[in-house]
Amino acid sequence: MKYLPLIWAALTRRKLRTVLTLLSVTAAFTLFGVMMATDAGFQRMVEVVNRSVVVTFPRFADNLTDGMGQQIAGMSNVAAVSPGANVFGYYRDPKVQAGLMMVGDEAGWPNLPLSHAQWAQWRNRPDGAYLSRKTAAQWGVKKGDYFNIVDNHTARADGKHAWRFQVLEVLDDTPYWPGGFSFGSYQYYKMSRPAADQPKDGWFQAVVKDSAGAEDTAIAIDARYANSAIPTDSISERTMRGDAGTAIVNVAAVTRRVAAVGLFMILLLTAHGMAQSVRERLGEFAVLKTIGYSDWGVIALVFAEALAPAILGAALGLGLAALLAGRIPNLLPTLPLSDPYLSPAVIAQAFLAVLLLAFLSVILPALRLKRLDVAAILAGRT
Amino acid sequence: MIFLRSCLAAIQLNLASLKHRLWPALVVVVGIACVVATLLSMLSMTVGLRHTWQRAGSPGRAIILPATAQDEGDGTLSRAQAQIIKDAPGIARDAKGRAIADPEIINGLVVRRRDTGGRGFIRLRSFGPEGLALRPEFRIVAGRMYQPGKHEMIVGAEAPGQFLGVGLGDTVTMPDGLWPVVGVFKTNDDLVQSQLVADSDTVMPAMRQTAYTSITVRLAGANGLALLTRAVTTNPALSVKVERQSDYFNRRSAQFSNLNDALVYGVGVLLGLGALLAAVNILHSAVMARRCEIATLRALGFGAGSVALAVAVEGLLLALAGAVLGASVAYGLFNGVQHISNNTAFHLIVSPAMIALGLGWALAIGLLGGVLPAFHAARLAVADGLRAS
Repeated sequence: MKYLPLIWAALTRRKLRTVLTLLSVTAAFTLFGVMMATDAGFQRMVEVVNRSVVVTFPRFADNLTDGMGQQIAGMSNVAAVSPGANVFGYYRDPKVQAGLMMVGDEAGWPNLPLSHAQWAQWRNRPDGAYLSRKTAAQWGVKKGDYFNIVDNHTARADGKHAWRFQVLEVLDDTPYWPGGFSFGSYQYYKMSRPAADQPKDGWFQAVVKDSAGAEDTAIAIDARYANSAIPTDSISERTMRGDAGTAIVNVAAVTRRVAAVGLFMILLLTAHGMAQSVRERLGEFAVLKTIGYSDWGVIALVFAEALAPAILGAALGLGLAALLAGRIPNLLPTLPLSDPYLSPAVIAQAFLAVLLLAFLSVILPALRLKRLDVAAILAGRT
Repeated sequence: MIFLRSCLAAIQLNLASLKHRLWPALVVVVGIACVVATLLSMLSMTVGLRHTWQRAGSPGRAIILPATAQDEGDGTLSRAQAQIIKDAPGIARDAKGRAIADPEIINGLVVRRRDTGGRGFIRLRSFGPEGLALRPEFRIVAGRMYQPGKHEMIVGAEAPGQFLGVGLGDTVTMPDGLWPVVGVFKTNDDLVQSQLVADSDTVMPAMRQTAYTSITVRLAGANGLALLTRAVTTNPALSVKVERQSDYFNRRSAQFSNLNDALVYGVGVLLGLGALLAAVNILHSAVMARRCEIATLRALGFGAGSVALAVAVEGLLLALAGAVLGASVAYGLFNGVQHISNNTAFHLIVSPAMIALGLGWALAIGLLGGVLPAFHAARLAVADGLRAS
């Protein structure tokens, strides 16, 4: 406590310098926050994925058959198989793409945020849809509303292109689907298709017993159909999600590298600032030592001086980053869709970075203070 | 003239004292180098990827796409339409009088990525007999050419490094079974070198397709493009558009710069802001430390303007040094390094234009960083300054 007035006095002595240091630390931590939050948001999107899910797409045309689903269900390590399909087109405005994922049964879709009761509702209301808050807000619909999705590519038995749904419930968004979600029932999809198309499936989702073998199961499924009339393209959902982050730019590599460069720059600046500040105030420190401050006491004082603007700047920077982070998905279409996430880990990393920054920038001045020749300085001989 | 000479003298004095302020100066230089190196390293990806696309285009060739298609894989052109286009004027002809025009089919095949084991997409580009005559840059470097009619294909030299199961001797899953890869080809270090190539008349039935996706032609003479465009766009049997092939790839490659610009310049601005504040801080400290010296100069008759200019010039020179350092680091670390993005292998490029941009960025930081301290130096009261020591 007794140090506080001293620290305050030191910081306010050169106000411009303190403000500039504070601002540059803020800029660096804004960059750090935005970059690491983007990285964390993406990592979370991969982490939340159910490791037991393997998806099988047709390699060339939409022609997977119900029979293949049964064959895959019979493979070792496969616990359940369920079909899926997309109804994809637009809602109201042809320029605004919209669609639903039509999902099979509960056993094959453990990755959906639906309760038993919600799954059961589909038995009575096959044309029902579950939307996330984000999606419902985008489309401007609420529970109980009917809406039409116009899909010009998926044939219907009645020859029309409009798929009519009723919103059963609007559910909370989850990090699993950062852009929002909309689910319909596969049963409704199948029954609405022309008779000839009914045995054809969009894709299969298999749930494996041992999640460590998910990728092997995907490879086994493809090998089974490689030389058949309907070759497949299978992959574990986790690998598929992970790929999105490296397809165009390697998100993790770019974001972490940029964050590191920003911190390094600020380290240089604060280290220089502290060295200069100590050099200018050697006389003051000599007096402190003379009146009984220990070496470590003086060093702690300098450390606190470095720490104060660093902590304040980091807090301001992370705050700004949190404000900016929400806008990143719009600003950076290169990055895969993910909600930037200032996770506790990112905040902890920032805090560690602040400590490290203050520590590293104080090392050299501290050594100088320890070797301080009090008598010589007070006599004005240096 | 006197002003100029006093400025020069002030600058000289300033720089002479720089060696006593080596560490602060280095902080500014290294800080700005960080900004420039980061900016260039990020830009090198966009520019490298664009370059690889642009190399695939030649101004002597034209590509004909269905009118609604943006990309060469987007639409369909029937055999009959292809024949009409082949007969159009403006297309170069070989010794036997046949048009040097080749209908192509682009298909996307799913393959496994070598780096992550995940899904990648490789393009299967199918040529007809004229495909090679159109492309003098195309050459087989290992194995042999595919035989039309046989279920086999060849692979671009960059593809096996990115994808599993597409190397010489591997088999690729096609709708009617497994096709062996019998040869490796190289082109002009362009994007085709990351693709597979097979015979179009063999691929079409195998893929259960009935149409081509584009036609590439060699243009005849200087007005070939105009002749061809007029002929095919006024023909009511066709609904197509003609683009010079170099223009087409230039247009298509623009998507990458659009995608990355926000990221690159956003980071460049934030990092630049950090460096700018550092420069202001340090130059200002330098002015404060040299109060006595500056006051002496003023007392000797140097004008406020020349003293201020000297400080600003110092900022610019430090920025210049930082830019040179940063650009050298970026060039040394990144230029020519192989990289994979968007299923295409390419080499990162740190071009002179990018270095100029980095230089401009750095000088802007130096200039802005020098203004406030320079202003401060100019307004320093002489009497106070002389008393400061």
